Amino acid sequence: MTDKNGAAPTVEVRTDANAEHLSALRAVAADLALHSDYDLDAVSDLRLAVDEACSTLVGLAADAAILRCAFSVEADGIRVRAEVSARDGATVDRRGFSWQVLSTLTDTVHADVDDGKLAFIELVKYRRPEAAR
Amino acid sequence: MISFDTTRANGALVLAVTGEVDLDTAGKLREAVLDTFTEQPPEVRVDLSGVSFLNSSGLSALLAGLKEAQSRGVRFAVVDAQPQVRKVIEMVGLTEMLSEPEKP
Repeated sequence: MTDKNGAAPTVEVRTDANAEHLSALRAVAADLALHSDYDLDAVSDLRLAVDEACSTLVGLAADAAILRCAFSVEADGIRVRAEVSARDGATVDRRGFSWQVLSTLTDTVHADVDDGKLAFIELVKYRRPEAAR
Repeated sequence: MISFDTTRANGALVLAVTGEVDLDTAGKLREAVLDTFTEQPPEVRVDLSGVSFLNSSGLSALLAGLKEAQSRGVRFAVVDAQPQVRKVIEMVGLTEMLSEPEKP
């Protein structure tokens, strides 16, 4: 998986799209943020945002699907793209608590299910709020 | 990884939760919270001091408890949440459950 600039991610994790693996994805998110000089609040925010994104995708996943989550540490922040093969009719719910939390904790977030039934969520958490301006 | 411990304190039933509340464990939290009402306590307190992580599925479980309490006329409160957990409860506007119930 590459990001929109064609660069390889810093870390890519693939797991069965199963709720029991979410704690591992949270650990990767928190570890990358800690090593990227995020303050502790921002580390917690990124951990929760990645959890919400991946939890959403687990809920949309087709049987036996693989969840892929790519983390790119960039100059201004951390960009995460998670994707999974979605079951028929899957859509991203933007009204529930999960979307509310996800959009509050991130600087940008984009989610969709494409024509190939690939459900994805991309989010960015800037290192410091000033970087967003 | 989540565990529960139920005690009584001044008539209130206190459900102490330990662990992480996520998509994998929120169903167990919801069951444990709803189970507290079977003893028909006048008040239910969910002690989150041992919860290091709580996501939106955990919020839904707590909201199920709040609604059940309201339908039964039982006081319901979440107490001692760690700052990050408190933050997510406030983020979605469930501050109502964070306030200490009034003493009778």
